[in-house]
Amino acid sequence: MKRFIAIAIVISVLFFTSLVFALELDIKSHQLPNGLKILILEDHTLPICTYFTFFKVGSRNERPGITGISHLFEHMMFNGAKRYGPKEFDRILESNGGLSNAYTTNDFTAYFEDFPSDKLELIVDLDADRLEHLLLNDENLSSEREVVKEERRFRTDDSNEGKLEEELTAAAFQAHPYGWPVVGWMADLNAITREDCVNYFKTYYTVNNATIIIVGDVNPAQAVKLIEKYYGHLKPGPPIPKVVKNEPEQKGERRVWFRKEAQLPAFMTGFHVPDVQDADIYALDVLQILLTEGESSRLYKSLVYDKQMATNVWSFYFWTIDPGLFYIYVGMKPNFTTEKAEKVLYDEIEKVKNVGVTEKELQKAKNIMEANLIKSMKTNNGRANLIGTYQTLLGDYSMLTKVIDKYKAVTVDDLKRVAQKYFTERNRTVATLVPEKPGI
Amino acid sequence: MKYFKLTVIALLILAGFSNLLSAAEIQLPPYQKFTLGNDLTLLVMENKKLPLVNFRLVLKAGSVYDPVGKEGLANLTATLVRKGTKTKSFEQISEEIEFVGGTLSSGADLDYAYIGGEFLSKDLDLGLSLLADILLNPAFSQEEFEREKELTLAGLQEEKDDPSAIASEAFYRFLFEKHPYSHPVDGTEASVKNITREDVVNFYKKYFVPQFSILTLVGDFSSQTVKAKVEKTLAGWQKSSTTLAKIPAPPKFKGRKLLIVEKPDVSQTQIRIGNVSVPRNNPDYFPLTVANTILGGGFSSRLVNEIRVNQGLTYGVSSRFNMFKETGAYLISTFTKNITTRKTIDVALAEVKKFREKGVTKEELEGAKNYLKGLFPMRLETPEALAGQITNIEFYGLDPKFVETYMQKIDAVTLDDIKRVANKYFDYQDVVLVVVTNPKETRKDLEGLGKIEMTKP
Repeated sequence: MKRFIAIAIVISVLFFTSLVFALELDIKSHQLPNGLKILILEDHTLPICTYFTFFKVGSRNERPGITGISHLFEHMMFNGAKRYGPKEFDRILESNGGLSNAYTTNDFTAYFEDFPSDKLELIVDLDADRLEHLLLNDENLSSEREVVKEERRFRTDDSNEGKLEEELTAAAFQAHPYGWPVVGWMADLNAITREDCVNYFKTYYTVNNATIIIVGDVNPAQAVKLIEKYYGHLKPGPPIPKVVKNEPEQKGERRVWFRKEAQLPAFMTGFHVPDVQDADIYALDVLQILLTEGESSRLYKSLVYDKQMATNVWSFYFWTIDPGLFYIYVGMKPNFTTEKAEKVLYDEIEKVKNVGVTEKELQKAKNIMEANLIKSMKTNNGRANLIGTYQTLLGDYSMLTKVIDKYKAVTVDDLKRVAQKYFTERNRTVATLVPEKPGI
Repeated sequence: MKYFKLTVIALLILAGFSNLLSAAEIQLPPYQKFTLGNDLTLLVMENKKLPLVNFRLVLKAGSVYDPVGKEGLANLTATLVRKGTKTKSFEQISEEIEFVGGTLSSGADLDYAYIGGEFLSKDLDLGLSLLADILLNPAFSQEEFEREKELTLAGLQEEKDDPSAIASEAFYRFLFEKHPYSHPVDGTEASVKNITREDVVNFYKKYFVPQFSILTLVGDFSSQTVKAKVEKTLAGWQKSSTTLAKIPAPPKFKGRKLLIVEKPDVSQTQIRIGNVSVPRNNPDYFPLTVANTILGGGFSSRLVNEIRVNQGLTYGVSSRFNMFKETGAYLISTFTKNITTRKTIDVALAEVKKFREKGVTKEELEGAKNYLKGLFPMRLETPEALAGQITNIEFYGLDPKFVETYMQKIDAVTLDDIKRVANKYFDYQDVVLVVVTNPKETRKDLEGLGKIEMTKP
């Protein structure tokens, strides 16, 4: 489904790290004179290929009044261009044995096709056509707007976890665009105009703001030639408007409650964490594993297994261009209050801060990361997605080769220090779901 | 002109040749099938691409064997084997697996229970010994039993907040009624409360037996070594005299009925429409798959085109055939804001009617075939996908050359086949409908679709 969701990316970013290392992946890099970046990785195991295009634009580039335009735009990219008109993109692609999807995050928008490798030229043509000639008219905008509103109802309005995340995020950020949802506020979705879309397209959908990644049964020299043929004449766009890292430091806990018809209470807590350029991101990745990955993780053991207070607990943390949030979610069992579970959660965090974790636990977290890393190499699509994510977030895919050492270097003291620095009461926002009785 | 024609023919031959080539390239990597002394079926495939081993044990111990009134027993039993053995606690097992970055999970589905996992190939011995331990020596301690039962009950309660889960569960219950395929795998709050520890122990003794089971391993190892290791670690697993009750195939539903699940807080209505259909080994598998691709598979299907692209009524709509061992379900799923519920149902049913009555174009047929053939190699990309393919062939009794003949069987589907299966399997008059909705906004509009029943999550 054309969609946005951050969780998949979290895991990928986390574990791709020693990929180059383990398999000595031979990524070929090329840049066209107009600024378009191309990264290619060959794998001839099966006659199939994945073709990704990453645009460095997401909800962080939006402004109040047009929130959700990045994601709405992602949908619009499937609605026809010049050589391939309305409804042609998916029809042509699928009738040639391919499949396509896309997703939008706070920081970027990614499109992909999986296809039989002898169809590469068709894919390049399809993607170049929509980048150069996308059709943006009132008719397809008004129909797609309704589709996106249905997506919002599905993922957010009628979902307890979706709403909790939205409430928490909006309360945690006072100034920065990360405070609004990637899918956008409902009223903004109604308000976005065709002109907004045209401006957005001209500003951000440019060759110099894009990276193409191909992984699979591909000849790199031929692929570059094809991309030159279809994209070479496109002119670079204007410089991308700067987004200010404007979020003030949080100086006290923030709390929000929201009431909804629900069976059980739940809460989500978020701590501000630094951007992707900060050295602490590696220790935060390790902490994320240690806290909630697997049934022997600290929070699962404590909240779900030992105390039997929660049905489930999970956390997510992903690298972001500007300072983001580290989220922890706890869903309660009947007869337990969120206050009780919050106390258990904070006690566990205090233990990491004061006593520290064991060497064995740290080693386990690193082993899990390494195994997940190998698993993330299973598909062409997975690898292409990771290469693109690294290139887009860090501006340098070759960080892949260096990053494994960063994880290896994380110590028990680092975890203590990082937990002490970020997991504090004053840096915390808590959103609580307060169930209301069904009323008919 | 003549020259031109010849060129075209030459190109066609070339094109045909390259198709043959790519079809011929789609082959399962070689694998071996053994029947061990205890009648366990063992499937072993070497796959050296990554240093991983993926395994799955499939047991005929699915929720179709749940006793009436104790629905959820199969799933609880399968889940509990992982929660401690005679010599290792749940925490020890989790710690050992997770320390090496492995996974080990167990559970049930309708037709089968499973224990599955993935380890780095260097940890194969550990993986096999843990598999053997939880399979052969589960403790089923009273403490873990109570804990898991509580967790299951809480999970069932939580699900009542998920409109999509409510709709799918209600659909099967409403469609299959009292048949074993009707109830949710994890049971209901009432049925799970009825289950005792003794029920679990007895279910385990009866159904966790080798003679109906398949163990599949795919990964970076030598087949002979793995076979020897499996024989050794599972040496204590004895076959039994258990026989399995035959599950009868339920009849198709005739007429129309509509279930309204009242959930007053939803802004969007979840919709399910369908009927009883065919099991996985049905000979019409290929024409049915191609036909369904045209109606409701992928992003360019008729349902997506009409309901999402043309009318903006939904974010997602699909039709599919869920094929089980003994029966199956034909199912259209979608969702829309409450006030357009009736409209969406009408459009979906009209599309099926048109599909049956007017058939499809040659272009649509070729497109769907290419789509299925093009995506097929991706279904062989990972160790677990390969393990899934060979386990399915064995479990459902499919053609052993299923993979090798896939392309050619898809190619063989004709317009006449599509017409025939459209009329046989794609119902719109005889269907059950389920909506999870706020009846205040939709109840009036839903009149006339069929006999209405009301319920709550």
